[in-house]
Amino acid sequence: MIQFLLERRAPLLLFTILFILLVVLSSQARSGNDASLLESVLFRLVTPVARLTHAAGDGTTGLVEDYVSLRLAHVENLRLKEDLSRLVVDRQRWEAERHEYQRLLDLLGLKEQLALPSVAARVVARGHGLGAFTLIIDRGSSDGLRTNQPVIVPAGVAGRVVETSPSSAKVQLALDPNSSIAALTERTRAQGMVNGRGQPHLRMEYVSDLEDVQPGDRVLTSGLDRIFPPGLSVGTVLRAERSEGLVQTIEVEAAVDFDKLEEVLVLLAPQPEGS
Amino acid sequence: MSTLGEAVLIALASLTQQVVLAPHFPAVDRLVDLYLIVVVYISITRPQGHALLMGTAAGLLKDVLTHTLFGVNGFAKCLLAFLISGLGSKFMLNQPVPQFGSLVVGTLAEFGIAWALLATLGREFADPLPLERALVNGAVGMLLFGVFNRLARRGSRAAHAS
Repeated sequence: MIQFLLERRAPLLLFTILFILLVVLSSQARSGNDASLLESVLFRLVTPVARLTHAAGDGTTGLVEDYVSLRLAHVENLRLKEDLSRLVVDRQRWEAERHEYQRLLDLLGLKEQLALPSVAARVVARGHGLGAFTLIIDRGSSDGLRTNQPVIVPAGVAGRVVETSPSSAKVQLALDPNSSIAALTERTRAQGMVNGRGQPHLRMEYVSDLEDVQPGDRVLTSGLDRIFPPGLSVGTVLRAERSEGLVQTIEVEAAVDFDKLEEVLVLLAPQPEGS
Repeated sequence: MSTLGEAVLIALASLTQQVVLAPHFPAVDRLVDLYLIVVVYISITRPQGHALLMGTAAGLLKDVLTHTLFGVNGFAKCLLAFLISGLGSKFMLNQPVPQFGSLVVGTLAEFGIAWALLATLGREFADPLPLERALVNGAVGMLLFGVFNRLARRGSRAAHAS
């Protein structure tokens, strides 16, 4: 009998196990309760290990995910820095273009306002040396430029053309020591000549001692020099001093910032001979 | 492989399935049954009585860690281990193709056993991908069997050396 049982050990074991499991299963199915006593015991034994392993697994996964996130953030950071650098350069370029656009718009407004034939030109070089204050512009005689034509900007008088070539021209700035512009004060119409001195401020000369000139008075072109049309802004009186002679010494702050000239308007209106 | 080694293998399979695959790779978890692969391996390499005990243990462990009716996997894997082990005693199942066949047939047989058991108990059984599972288990099992064999050889060499 024992020999028989030993020979059929595996089938007997199978049937025993299956029988037990069937009892467990049927009891669960009958009671509707899915958790049997055996399962509860096993569950209590196994879950702490599973929970610990799960926590360790989560920790490792978290660590790996954190590392990967950090690497990705680093790469993204580098990319964003590159983008930022590019955007800063773009922004600077756009800002410059916006300013240029505004300047050109102002110049266009001035051109329409004056209703005189004119040519817009771009400053391509500056010549501040040996007592001369000049600009080179990219328009010349082929564009209709001639000597003694006024050069203006929206702020006021910049200078006049003193030399031309077919494709460029030299402009003598109002602050050049050889520059002289017939002018008057807007408020009292006191006549004089505004001369350059090679310094930031201009000087208005030949104004009678009897004229009323006060700091803050606007100085405009009078048109008497037959170069500049009347009414263009030359500057503002900074100081007016009465000297012992017959004339006043008047210092004028130029309306134009000569260091920031980039585009100018050359008035093509023919000036009478002998100007 | 020793019984302790097999127990460790079952525990590792269980942890990998429940801790790694189920939460992080649910699509893989649906297609791979590491418990079954280990049970088939033990059934091929060990005597019938031992195989069905280990199969039952693996199945019950799965029952505990998954939310199925307790005993279903134990029952199915016990029976599966008995059948595969019985086949192993009559045929040569230690070659790649028969092993692959054992894994595929084992997966389908387990599906059939579980379905029949739950149907008998008046429970619903849903496993939409039995064939896919069988093929994936076959492929993954082939790879793992190579690893298990290597581990077993290393274990036996260490035992001889000591």
